[in-house]
Amino acid sequence: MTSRRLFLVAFAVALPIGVGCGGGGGGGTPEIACTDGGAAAANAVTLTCGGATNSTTERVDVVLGGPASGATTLRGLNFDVTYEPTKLEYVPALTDTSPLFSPNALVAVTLFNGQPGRVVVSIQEYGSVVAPVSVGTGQHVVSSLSFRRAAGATFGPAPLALEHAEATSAFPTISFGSGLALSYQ
Amino acid sequence: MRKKASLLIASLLLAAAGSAASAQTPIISMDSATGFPGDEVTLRLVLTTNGAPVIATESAFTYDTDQLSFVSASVTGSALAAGKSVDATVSNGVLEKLAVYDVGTNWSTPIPDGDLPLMRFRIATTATPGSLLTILTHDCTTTVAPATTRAATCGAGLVFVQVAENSPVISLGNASGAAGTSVTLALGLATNGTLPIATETTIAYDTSKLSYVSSATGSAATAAGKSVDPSVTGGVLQRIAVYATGGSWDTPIGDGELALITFQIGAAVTPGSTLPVSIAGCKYTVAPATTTEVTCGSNGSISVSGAATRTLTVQSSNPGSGVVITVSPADENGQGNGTTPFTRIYDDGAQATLTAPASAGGNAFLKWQKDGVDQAGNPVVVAMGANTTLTAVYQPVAASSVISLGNGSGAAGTNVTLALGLATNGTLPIATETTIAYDTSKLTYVSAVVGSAAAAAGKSVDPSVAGGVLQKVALYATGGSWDTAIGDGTLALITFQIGAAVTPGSTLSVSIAGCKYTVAPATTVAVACGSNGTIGVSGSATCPDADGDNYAACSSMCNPAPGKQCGDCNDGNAAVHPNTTEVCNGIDDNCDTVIDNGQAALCDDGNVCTTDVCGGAAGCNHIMNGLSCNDGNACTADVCDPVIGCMTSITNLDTGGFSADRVDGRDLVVLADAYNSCPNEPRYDVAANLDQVRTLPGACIGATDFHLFMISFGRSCS
Repeated sequence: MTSRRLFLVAFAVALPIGVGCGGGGGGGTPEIACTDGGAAAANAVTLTCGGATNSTTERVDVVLGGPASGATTLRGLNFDVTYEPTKLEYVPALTDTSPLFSPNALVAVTLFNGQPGRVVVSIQEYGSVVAPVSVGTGQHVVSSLSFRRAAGATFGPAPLALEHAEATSAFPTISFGSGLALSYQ
Repeated sequence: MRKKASLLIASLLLAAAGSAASAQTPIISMDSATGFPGDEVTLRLVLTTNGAPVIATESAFTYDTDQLSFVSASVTGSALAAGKSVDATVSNGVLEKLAVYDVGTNWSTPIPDGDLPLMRFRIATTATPGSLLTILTHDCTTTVAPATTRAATCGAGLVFVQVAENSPVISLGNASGAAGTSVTLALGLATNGTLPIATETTIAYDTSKLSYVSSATGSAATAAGKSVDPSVTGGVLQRIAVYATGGSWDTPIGDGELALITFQIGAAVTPGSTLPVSIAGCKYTVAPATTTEVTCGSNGSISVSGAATRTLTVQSSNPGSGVVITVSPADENGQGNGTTPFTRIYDDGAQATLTAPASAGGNAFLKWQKDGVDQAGNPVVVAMGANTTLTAVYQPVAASSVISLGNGSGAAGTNVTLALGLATNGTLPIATETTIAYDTSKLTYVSAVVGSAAAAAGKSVDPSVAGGVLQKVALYATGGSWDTAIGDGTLALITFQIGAAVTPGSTLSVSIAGCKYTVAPATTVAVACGSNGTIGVSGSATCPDADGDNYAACSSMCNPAPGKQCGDCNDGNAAVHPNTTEVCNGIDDNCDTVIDNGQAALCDDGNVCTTDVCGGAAGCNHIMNGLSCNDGNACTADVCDPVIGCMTSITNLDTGGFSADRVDGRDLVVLADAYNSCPNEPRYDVAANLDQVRTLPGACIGATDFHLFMISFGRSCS
């Protein structure tokens, strides 16, 4: 078991007893709520809560933590976002773009095999003439994905995780960190 | 050993402080060292005699054996000059004590101030970069002649080994500017915790496009008191060194700009192009004077501003050339209208409007196609975001309907009926009119009745008769069937009586003229009539075979010559006769009364990607039909080729790791790396040319290939 897996297990266990934000649970109208692991570490990609669009839909931001100093360069990111399809539904965007990469970057976002449960995301700068993206310090949103509750029933924390994740031509190396959990109570 | 460290630190610091008060006590001290995880570092053990005649020394050591391992100790410097040897006490690989003395002739020789042994330690590979590792010296003693051993001061109770962090990275930034202007690139330093006092970097660039102008000291270097020293040969910048020659030599440089390098972009450089400025041979020096070469960071580039140009290729089909296209506005070279095929050059993003003539080469304009995709309307407006091919597609004009009169035969004095026939040729009339002429001395009009094709369309026959002579025959409907089109077949059946005195074996002509037809809603077109009719008067005669194809034009009035057969419907064309193969040419080749019988089937080219149309006299036309050619494999892009037919291109471009059996971002990386490349470029990856177009400009890897890729993105191949 890798250290990353150890962290994810610990994170998943901690979420139900963690300090949740929003949400019902008091007998009122159910609302979607999101709990994440905090800001992205330097040169690491994590999922963070982007805020509720409405009572049933949450925006999930894929965030790259910039370097402690200087700049990090990269040409693209590949990753899957997994979720529980019995509880959550991925809401496709009308257009897929990345605020971090250039407007002309190739962006591909789709459900794996068209089936709920796994969103495949790839953002790539292309060609030899386009310079790599240079990222400075701070938190940088790579892309935003929206999820809403799949059915009317309430549910406790359901994890969203990053898999098959890697950066393209990154210097220094970029790691992929924690996911988050969505609940509807 | 490690557990003792904290207690010893406190006690030894106190001991060192107390000993410092005694000025006459010799001091045994150590210096510090810096190294990377896994490196060996050397520390000097130094003796300060304070005037005492020291002939031997001894020191004990404590250190974290998980972080440091003892390698060796060797006598040097003052101890070596005094003829001493080193005696290390090592237990289980751990250095415990180090004694310097001689048991021979040099026993009583004093050791002057200076180096005792050099000690080598190895930093553990697991040591944390940036950390300080401690080596404690304690229980120091010196022996003075003749043989008195006393405690000495462990001058530096704590000795640190600095574990270096990652190497500094020198990178070159990017800039942009117009051709003929100057641009400045920043040579940057990321220290990564290791602070250099000087750097050196080799610069390379295309001297045919860039000229070196100047170099200036960057902000980080300036803050450290450094200056930039460019090496320029023949006007070409070779290297950039950053250092200080005076008092700031040892001042480390922090993160930031080392130098600002200015180039002038050549006036003839193509706008929209990118000029690389690469760096190599990156070196840095740390105090006091250790120079290390490291891998350079990112190279720089200069984007030449201004619009890139796009090529508009204009071509035509049916005909493939010779069509005059109106083009507005004129292109970058001042060229406007052109005759297909031709090209025009526009700035990226410019719009061009193209107008095709309504007809060309006898064919009618059908549509525009942009990169093979149908466009609506004429003129067509194209935005030049990429190299684009526009094709003006023409199709044959539908052939006119043909009204013909059939033949008949009979004996003198009998009635003979001739069929007035219609071959629509794809144009479906709703009414017809035909003028009839015949020898009234030999034929007498009897009647006209509606034919089967006209009856099926709800039409009636309207013969015009004057003085018993048939003048015209019209077919139309006056009621609800007015708009119903008449198909191929018989319009009317016209009956004549052959005069009783007409010579047997003779042929009577019944000619037609003034043929007209009306198409919905009410357009009447006058066309040339088809064949006239004949009435053969029964009798014995040999049927003619004028074209020698062994098929005679027979009638009831004659018999074919031996060895010949009847049925030739065109005795002036040897290629036309029964039992020959019908081809798409606008005539009835096999005399089955139907022109181009079979229509599209006659033109089947076996390519599922084309719709095959028989254009009559114009021959066959094969039009791309937009078929998807889906082979059911989720990991292929399926393309219809106008020549080959269905092709499939594998979109699973990367089969490593998790990408082995699915189309995902790793495959997109392959496509992205080859994007915008054309077959003559080194980074061109033929596998990424998903549309498999082989000739320029479609052969380049671009938006079409990306869209094809997206068809199967996120799909499992298994």
